Amino acid sequence: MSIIDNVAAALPLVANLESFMALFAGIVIGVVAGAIPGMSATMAVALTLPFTFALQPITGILLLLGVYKGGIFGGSIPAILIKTPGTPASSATVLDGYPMAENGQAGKALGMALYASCTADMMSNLALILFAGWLASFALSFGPPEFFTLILFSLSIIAGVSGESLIKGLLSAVLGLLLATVGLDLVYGTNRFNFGDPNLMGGLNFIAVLIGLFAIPEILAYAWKPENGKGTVRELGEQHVTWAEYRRCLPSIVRGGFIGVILGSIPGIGAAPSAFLSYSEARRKSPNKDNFGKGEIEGVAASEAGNNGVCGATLIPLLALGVPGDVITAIVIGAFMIHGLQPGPMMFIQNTNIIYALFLGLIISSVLLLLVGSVAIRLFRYIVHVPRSVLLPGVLILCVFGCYAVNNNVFDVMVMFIMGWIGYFMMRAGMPAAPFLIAFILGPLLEDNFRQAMLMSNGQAQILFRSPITWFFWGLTALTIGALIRSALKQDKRMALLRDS
Amino acid sequence: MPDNDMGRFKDIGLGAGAVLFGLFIVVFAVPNYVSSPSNVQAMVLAPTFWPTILGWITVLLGVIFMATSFIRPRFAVSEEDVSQQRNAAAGAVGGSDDAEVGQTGAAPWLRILALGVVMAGLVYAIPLVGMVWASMIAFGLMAIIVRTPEPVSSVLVAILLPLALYAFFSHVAGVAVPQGEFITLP
Repeated sequence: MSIIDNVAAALPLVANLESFMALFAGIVIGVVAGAIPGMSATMAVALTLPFTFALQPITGILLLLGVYKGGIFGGSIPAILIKTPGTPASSATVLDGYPMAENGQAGKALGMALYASCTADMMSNLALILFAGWLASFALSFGPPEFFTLILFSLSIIAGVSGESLIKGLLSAVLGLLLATVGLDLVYGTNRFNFGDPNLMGGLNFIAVLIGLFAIPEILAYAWKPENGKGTVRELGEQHVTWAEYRRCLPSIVRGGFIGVILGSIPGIGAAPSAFLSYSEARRKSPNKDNFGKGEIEGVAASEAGNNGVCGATLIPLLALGVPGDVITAIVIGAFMIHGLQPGPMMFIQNTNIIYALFLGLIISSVLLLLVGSVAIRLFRYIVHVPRSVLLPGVLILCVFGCYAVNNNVFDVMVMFIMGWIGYFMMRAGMPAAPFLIAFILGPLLEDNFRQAMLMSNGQAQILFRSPITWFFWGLTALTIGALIRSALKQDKRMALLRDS
Repeated sequence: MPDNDMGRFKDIGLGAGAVLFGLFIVVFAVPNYVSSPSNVQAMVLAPTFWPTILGWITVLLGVIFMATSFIRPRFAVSEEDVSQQRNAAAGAVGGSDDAEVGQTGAAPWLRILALGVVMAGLVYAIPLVGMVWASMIAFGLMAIIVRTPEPVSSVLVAILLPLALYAFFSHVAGVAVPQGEFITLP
């Protein structure tokens, strides 16, 4: 089938009121959640997931992608107005956004954040459309050994970049892999850590683990310290971004978009490093480099282009290889599975209409983000001032209903709370939750492909080195581990310098 | 005890915990709670292989973590400490979770302990009184625990939110929301 045929087949799935409403609602939820300090895009996507069960697969997935995109942009609102990034991805936006707000240009900073976000988002969507199919057709030749090495490579990156301590990140990932072994054995069907409980035979429920890890620890952290998250909200001030300002920032936006696309398509990097790299590149190349950090509009544009540029690109490994690009796409992979879809190269053959409907929906989402974002900027005061003493008990109740709705089972609610406490203690110990969750999702795939490869070779490990593709991924894994160790040693040196100073 | 010594002590504790947990998995949990059929062709295919490997990796990571904690210079600072100091100097919002603020009465550990009791109670109360009523009570108790400055909004949301969620999940998504033994909602 040609692209035109595929688009024609996908159009009825997305060109209807339900899909538009899902995208619109998703973006609104995402922008609001991103704008509330203490909520995050990840938490918003996790809490929205149970509401997709009653929807058609494409509608549900578009709702979640809307939340994702809205959440990443929404994080820039408190970053600019109260110097508190709504999401980690907006940390770089604070550098110039807040000084602009202090100079009475909050509206201009928010406007530029929106335009840069939408431009980079569109670039990212186009990259997804261009590259995902190509990568998927390449991945069709993968067998279990190739997938094993690919997933191992993905895990090595994810565990390494998710926290300030490499070992804590790895420890978190190993715990996630261990938890994924609970349930019936994949090959022999024997019990593994079931403790005789039939509720555990199918393994731990993904949604319960997910909500437990990302929402409950925030509630417990709030109970520990109930009065955080207050700040002084600035006035909007001078509001409009001129065409000349947009044109001046366009090179930085395009560069940031490309950086976002490249970093987003590599599993595990995420939006925050992309935003910082885009910001530093913009500062290096800009004629106004001395003004960066003091309220330079180009700095806001570069940061926001960098973080929104990853949104579409993180879906490239997800759709083409079945490997999540970041923690939010790890949640989205769960939504695919709940609706009976398995992302990966075979999806491009079996569910082409859904793939193309997603592409179309993502393009529409960039336009909707522009509309919703313009309104959200004006309503920021109401969004930022939602009292946390009302919000977080509400989140607790949402978690309970959402988690129960997956299997109509109170056992899942209990698992969610237990995971919440584990997540809270991990948070206190400085162990990142993202590697845990991603390893929990990738764990069964890793083990399944490993054991299938071993079955193919009667237990001979040479099969894991059978083709140039496996060698390629082994090489990449070795390079990544080397880079991680080098970076850890560099950090030690930097710490020594900080100590001396 | 100086902060850095405390941090090092915590890290060593975390490493030791990982070692003990890994050994528990390898020595006790896998032999007792993972069944392996007798006709397994190769060791790498056995259901015990993967959890055992992961257990040993946990032990190894714990040992490495303890070793790096010992090696770390006595007065080293972490990047987080430095950024927190910078944030504090710049008057940034937020800060360390460890910072104690006494405005809300009870000690922090008492509050999260109480919240833990509310969570456990919620799990037991759902089949008994129904999810909607249990959620309303849990919302109210959490608002009391954190001494909400918005009591009216809290009461309103505590009543309306569970009802709205019940309406969605029960009537739109078709989920059989537990009704409990006392009051049945339409």
